[in-house]
Amino acid sequence: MKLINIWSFARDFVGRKYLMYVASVIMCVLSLLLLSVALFAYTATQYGKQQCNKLFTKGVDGTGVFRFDDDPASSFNQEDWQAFMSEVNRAEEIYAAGVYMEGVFNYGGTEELVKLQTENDATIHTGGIPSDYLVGYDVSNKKVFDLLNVKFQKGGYRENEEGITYLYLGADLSSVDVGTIYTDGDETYVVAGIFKRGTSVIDPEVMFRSSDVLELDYSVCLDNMVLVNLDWINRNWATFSVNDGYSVEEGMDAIREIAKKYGMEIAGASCEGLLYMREVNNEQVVASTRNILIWLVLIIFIIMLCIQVSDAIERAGDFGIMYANGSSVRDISLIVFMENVRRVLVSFILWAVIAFLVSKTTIVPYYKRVYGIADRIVMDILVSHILPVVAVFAVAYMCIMSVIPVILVKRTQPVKLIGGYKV
Amino acid sequence: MIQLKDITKVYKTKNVETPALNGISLEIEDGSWVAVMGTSGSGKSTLLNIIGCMDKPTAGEYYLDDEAVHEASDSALHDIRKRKISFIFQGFALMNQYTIFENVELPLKIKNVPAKKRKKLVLEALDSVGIKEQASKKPSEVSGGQQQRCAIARALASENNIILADEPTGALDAKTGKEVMEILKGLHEMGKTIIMVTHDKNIAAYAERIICIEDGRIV
Repeated sequence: MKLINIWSFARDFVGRKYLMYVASVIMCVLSLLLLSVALFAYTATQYGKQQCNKLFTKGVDGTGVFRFDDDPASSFNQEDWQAFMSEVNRAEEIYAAGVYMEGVFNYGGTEELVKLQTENDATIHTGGIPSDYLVGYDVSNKKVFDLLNVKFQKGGYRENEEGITYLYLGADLSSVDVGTIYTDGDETYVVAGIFKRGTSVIDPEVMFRSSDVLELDYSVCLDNMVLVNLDWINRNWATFSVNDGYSVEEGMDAIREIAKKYGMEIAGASCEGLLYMREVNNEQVVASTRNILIWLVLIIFIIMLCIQVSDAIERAGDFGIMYANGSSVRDISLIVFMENVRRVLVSFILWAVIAFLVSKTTIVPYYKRVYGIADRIVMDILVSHILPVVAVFAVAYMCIMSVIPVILVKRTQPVKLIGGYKV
Repeated sequence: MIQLKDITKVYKTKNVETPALNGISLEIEDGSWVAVMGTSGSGKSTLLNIIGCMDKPTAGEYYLDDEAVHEASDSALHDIRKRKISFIFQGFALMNQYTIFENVELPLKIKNVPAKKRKKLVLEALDSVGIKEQASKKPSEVSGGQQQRCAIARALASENNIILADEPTGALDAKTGKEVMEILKGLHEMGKTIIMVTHDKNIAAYAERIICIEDGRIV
C-alpha cells in the first residue's frame, strides 16, 4: 500500500476516535513534561560542572578558591595584600592567582558609565553579569585573565597605573573605543579592552551556586576541605590555578605557607570539591525528586500501554477486515505506527511549546534571581540535554506502542480477527 | 483456475492435533459457481480460508492460475489475495466507523487505485446492488440485507475474479437472503468465480456444482 493511503487510514482511525486520541495526547505530553523535569533536576548539576570546566583555563581539577581577610581593621592592609598575591603568583605550584570584580556598581558615580549601566539595566543582576552586556570589569593583575579563558575583540590587558583604573567592557559595548576615558572626581577610568562575544567572565562563586534551592553550603565545604572559620564566610574570594603536575591541595598548602609570613589565615577549597559538596548536599533532594518523577512517567507509560492493548483488541476485527481485503501485516503495522507517529508528533510539539513557555515564564525568572545568565543556561540545558532524551523517549514510545497491535495481528489467525469464521 | 491436490490441514495446539481437512483434491474452473456444503466442523470454512489465501495447508498442493500458492511466502499470499480474491462474510465484516461508501472503497484504497477512479467504481458497485442512496450512512444505520449488499458491492468494486462467500445469507431472513442470492447470480453472470459455503440446500441450488464435505473429506 502507498504511504499516502497508509497515512490516510491512520488519520481516519485517529479522527474517528477523537476523544481517546485527545486523552492519549494529554497523557503523552504529561509524561514528556515529567520526564523533562526529572532530567532538568539531574542535568543542571552536570551542566554546572561542564560550564565550570569551560570557564577555567586549568579546568575544575586544576582550580581552587580561597578566602582572605580584607577587613580594614585587621593587620592585613592593601600593600600586604599586593605583596602577598605577587608572591603567590611566583610560587612554583601556582599557575595564576588573582581577584577580580565585575559589574558597574563600583563605578556608579561616573556619568557616562551610569548611562551605560541604565541602558543595560534589564540584563544586569547582582549574582552575575552576562559578559556581552558587561559595563565594567576590573582586574587586579593580568594573571586573572590567565585563570579564565578570556579573549578580546579589541584592546587587551593594561598594567595598572597610579590613579587609573582600566576597564574591560562586554561585547555589546564594542562601539566604545578602546582608550575612552571616564572621570569621576579624582578617579579616572580608561577602557582598556572589549571582550569577545561569549567570553566567560562569570564570578566562579556564582557558577557554584546555580540557584537558591541548590545553594552551596560553604561552611560544609570549608569544613571538609581545609579550615573551619565561619567568621570568614562573607569575606572576599580569590581564585587560583595550579601548574601541571601539582594538585589543588598542594597549591593551597603553598598559598597557606606564604600567607603565614604575612600573618594571615587562608581558608580555601578546590573547585571540584565545591562542586562535589554541592552535589552531595543536594543529592537526596535531586535523587528523590528524579525518582518520583521517573516512577510517574513509568506509571503513565504503563497506563498508556494498557490503553493501547485494549484498543488493539477492540480493533482486531478492523485489522482482520483490512487483511481480508488485501492489506498485509506490514500495511497494518505501518497504519498503527503512523497513528502513533501522529500522536507523538502532536504531543512533542505541544511539549516543546509548554516546556519553552514554562522555562521562559517560571524557571528562568526563578534562576535569574541569583543567576544572571539563566536565559542562556536554562535554554541550553533544554536544547542540549533534555530535548535529545525526550526525542529518543518519544521515538521509543512510538515503536513500543506500535509493536503490540502488530504482535496481535501476527499471532492471531486473520479469520479469527474478523470473528466471522468458525473452524 | 483453482487446483487443489491432496490438501491436508491440521490445527495444532500444545498437545492436541485437530485435523480439519484430510486429502482434499478439487478443480474449479474460472467463472464457475461452486457451493460447499457440510455440517458444522466438517472443514468447509477451513477449505474456504485456504482457497482464499487466508490460511496455509499443512500438506498438499494448491495452484491458482498456475501459481503454486502452497509454496508462496506470506507477502506473496497477501499479493495474490489482493489481486484475485474477495470475501463475503456471514457477519458482513464491515468497519462500523466507516460509511457504506468508505467500506466499499476500502479494497480499492488498499490497491492504491487513484481517488477519482475509486469514486467511480464505488458508486457503480453501490448502484448495481441498489444501495447508492445509503452511501453516506454507517453500517449500523442500515438493515442486515443492505449491509450484505454493501459487502457484495465491496467484492464487486475490487474487480477481483474470485469471490468467496461464507454463509452469505446466514444472518438474513428468507426474503432478503433471496435478494442477496439474486445479486450473487448477477455477479456470476458477469463471469466471476463464486465459491460459497452454505448448509442451506435452497441456497446451494443457485450453484452450478455442489461439493459436500464430511470430516475433512469430499464425499
